[in-house]
Amino acid sequence: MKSESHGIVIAATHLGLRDIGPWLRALLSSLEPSQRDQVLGAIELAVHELANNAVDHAEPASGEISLIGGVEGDELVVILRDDGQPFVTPAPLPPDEPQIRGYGLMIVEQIATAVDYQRQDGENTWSARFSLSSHV
Amino acid sequence: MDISIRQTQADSSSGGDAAMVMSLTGRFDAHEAPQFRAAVAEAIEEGTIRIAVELTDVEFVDSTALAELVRGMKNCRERGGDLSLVSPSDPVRVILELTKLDAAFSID
Repeated sequence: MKSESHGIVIAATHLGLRDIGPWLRALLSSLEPSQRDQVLGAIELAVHELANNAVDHAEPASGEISLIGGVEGDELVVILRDDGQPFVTPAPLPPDEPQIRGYGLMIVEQIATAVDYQRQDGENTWSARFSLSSHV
Repeated sequence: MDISIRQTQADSSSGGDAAMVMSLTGRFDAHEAPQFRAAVAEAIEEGTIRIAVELTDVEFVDSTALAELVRGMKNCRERGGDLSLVSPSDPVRVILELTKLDAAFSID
């Protein structure tokens, strides 16, 4: 089963990230409410973190981030694009001392079943897959 | 996000340091993090180094907000106090577990 994809363009600001949750809820409207509620919180957090990285580090020239999402079988696929600075892999977190930054991608990698980054034609593209049958 | 602050009586185990309960309600994200950071900085500046952050009614928390909790905790501990978490909601518990910071905070 592959559903129709739906897109949204959000402002590349911390306030703009609040449009992600309602968009995801609408995207998963075909799920049973109980199933949707089980997975929505963690998926929103992961997509929010990817977009937040774009706001804080990529600083898109257009001031926007575009998202496309669709359900494929029992997975949700979300693709984020921005025209900001290329992603730079952060240094690993030290194992013992709690840090004040660097948790965003760590969170995404634990929630998503797959995460991919590509830089092409001046654009950052992140794609992430999320299971709709299990939750964090 | 709403922040309500209540000064509390410091108990003998805290050595008499000034203490407060900071209750957060709503969405605690990157947009709200500066407000929380300023509130904690002000409290510390005024000598309150034992802060209990009550998180029962936090409906969403992100890594930027989490980082502010870590910053506050470190700043309090550097001064001999602590920033502890009280009754974290499910979204807070999830992010603490994902980042393994549940082991770093005092959680009541």
